[in-house]
Amino acid sequence: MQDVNEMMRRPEIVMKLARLGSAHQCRISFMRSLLRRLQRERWQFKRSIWTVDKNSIGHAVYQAIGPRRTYSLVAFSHPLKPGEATDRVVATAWDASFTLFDGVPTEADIAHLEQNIPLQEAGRVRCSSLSVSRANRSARLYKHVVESLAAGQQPDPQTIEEVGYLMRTTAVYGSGKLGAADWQLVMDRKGLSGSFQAEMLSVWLTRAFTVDLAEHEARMLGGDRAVCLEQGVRKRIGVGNSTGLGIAPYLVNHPRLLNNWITARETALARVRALTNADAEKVAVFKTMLRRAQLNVQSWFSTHPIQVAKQTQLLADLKKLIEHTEQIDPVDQAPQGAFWDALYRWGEQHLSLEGQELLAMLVMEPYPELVDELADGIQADEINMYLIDGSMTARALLELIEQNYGWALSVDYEEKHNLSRFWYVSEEKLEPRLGKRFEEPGAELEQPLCVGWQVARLYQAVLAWTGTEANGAVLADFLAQHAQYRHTVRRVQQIEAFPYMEIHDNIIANEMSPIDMLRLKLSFFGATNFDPRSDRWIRINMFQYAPFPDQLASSPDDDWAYPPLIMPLQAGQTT
Amino acid sequence: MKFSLNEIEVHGKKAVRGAGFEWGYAEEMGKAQRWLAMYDLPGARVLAAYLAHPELHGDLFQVPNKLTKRILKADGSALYCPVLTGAWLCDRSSIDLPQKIKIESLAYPLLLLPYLAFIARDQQKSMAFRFEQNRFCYADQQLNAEVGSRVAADDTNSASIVFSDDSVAGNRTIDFEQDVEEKDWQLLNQFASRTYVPASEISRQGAGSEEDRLR
Repeated sequence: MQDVNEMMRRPEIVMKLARLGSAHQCRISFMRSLLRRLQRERWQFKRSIWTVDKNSIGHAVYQAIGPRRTYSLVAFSHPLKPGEATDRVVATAWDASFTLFDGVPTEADIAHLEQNIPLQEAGRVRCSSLSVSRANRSARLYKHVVESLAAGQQPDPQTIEEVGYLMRTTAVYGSGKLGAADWQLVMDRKGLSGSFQAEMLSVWLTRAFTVDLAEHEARMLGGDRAVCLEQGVRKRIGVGNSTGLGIAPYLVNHPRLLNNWITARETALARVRALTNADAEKVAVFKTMLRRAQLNVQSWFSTHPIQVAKQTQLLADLKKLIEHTEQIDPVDQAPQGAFWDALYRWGEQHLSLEGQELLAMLVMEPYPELVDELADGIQADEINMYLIDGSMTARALLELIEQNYGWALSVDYEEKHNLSRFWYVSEEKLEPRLGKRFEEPGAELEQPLCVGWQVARLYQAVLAWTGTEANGAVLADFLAQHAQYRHTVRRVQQIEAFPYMEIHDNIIANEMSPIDMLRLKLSFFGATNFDPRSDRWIRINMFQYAPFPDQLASSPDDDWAYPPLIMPLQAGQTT
Repeated sequence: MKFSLNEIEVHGKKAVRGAGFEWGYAEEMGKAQRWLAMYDLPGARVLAAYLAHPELHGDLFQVPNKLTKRILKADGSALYCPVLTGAWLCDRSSIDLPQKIKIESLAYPLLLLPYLAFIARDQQKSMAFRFEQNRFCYADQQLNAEVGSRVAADDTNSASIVFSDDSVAGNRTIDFEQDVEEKDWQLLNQFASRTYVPASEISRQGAGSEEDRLR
């Protein structure tokens, strides 16, 4: 077995925005690790309350009963008139709203939630709420499903394929927002161990609700004639999610967490690449997952030019990769190294970034025993203050920057196009936005997200300062005169402990694509089917093909991320 | 109204920035606010009072530039700013910080307390901080506090800090949310809102194209 550390891909490779923007889900992803844990720990699920009436107004409670605690999704249905819904953060009303409640809510709890949850940001919750979210119906699919089921028929497979969800969430809040439970309250809970587990559990239970609601409306419409969704059809329905710029700053504002996600993923890849043999059974699993991934990519229905180009490229990559894997023999040890490592390095030579990243994730699939434990409890210390090390010398800081921030120093910040954007928080709905520095007001209120530029300026300032100060001068002295660099010094001083904490690109450059940042985070959630609507707005599908709560106990272990190879016939298809 | 620790931290950070401090100081005071709220000390109230001080950026509030015989005393009738002083002490904590320090002119002393706790944690020491009949001892997430009526004092002419290896038996539990008075929250909000760019049509475009109504 090779040394795993030597196999780790370096930050200079991994943290380039173009590669982050080509990220795919893997075994480590949060949705998958959640369901693995729920299944392993034998959680029970029941819908304990349903008050939704014939006008689809009402609420439901779904309990998730774990070995130590119970969590409840409280869902409120309050459909808008057709055409009223908007996914923007500035919306004030939605078709449905949700909270994941810590425990089992009493009637008084539900009454309080009913006053606040449908209002979302205009309401307040208590720390008994772990997450708060809202969703709108799919204009294309929801009504079609209700009408089909009401008439005693299953919905059109093609429409299901193209849309993939009945409702889509437009925000899922956690970590203390709107008064919800602070991260510190739940960070030691074993049942929610890891990142975004409360949010993922909330979305998974929401999925069940969306199906129940559509079937309910079908019954109201069609009476005795109405049927339920067939299992095979139901599985193809996930929960849509519509994400904008709001989550992009997250990656920059949570550098230790980002580092820990990436480290877990890269360690998983390195462990597989370090293996000196690959038995036929494992290779067979890989080949199957490869074809299933191909099915998934073929089903991407985005019309956005960026995504169409990526999809085309990825399909071409997959074709090449499948042909190549048919030719190589796992038993025949390649002279330069082990099977998986050789395959990965072939990918580096022959595939685009999308193909390389997909391959990197797929080689992990046959190895739950090596990979899955890395997903458990991926967290970071976001609570404590990191003290600046004032004793560091100026020279040491300069070297730290030279060794780790070459990507920042190599940018010419005199060129306007390298500074053309600025990140800020808008007064309206307090949402992050990206402005054009030289064309609109507000740049003086720029958020400290432009790490590259800040580090480059810090470097120049320290360089200039060292030239004029006596020997032995330390950072504490520099900072006493240059307070504007405190934030950046603190950041830079963490780089050796958290090597994957930085995006190695200038995120205020003209050509920067914000969806690359969104894609990285969403891939860690476990999203497939990325559908950008612009360079800063993206739709995904969550939990598509996953078991429902009533199926989890009897489902094969973690086998749902990609569609099954044998697909039911499409309408009109004969073979 | 109750706020989560995260809300208190973020609000405090934005308020300090909006009041004109650099981001580095703002994020430090954000963490300080979280710490004070965790132990149910009136951090938001005292921060609001400080930021609202009419001479916030004048000569009244200073930062130390060196310790003379372990005593910090500001010039004339000036006071040490807790934000800048806390940062200054933290920066020096791994260099030459004495185990005993006396500060003879400190504004809003409660705001300095969390910085001393951060230093204690970083140095794996315990810390004792006294001012105006208040005494705080802290080590290993254990806080033992004797809180007097002047805990929210806007200044003190005698504060003492001691770092040692003594253990501490805590007498305050950790909470994950805190009741903050509306007027204090709103005062902080006035400062925090200075960090936001006002709404405009061009700003809305910067959030992404108008969402299509399909699907």
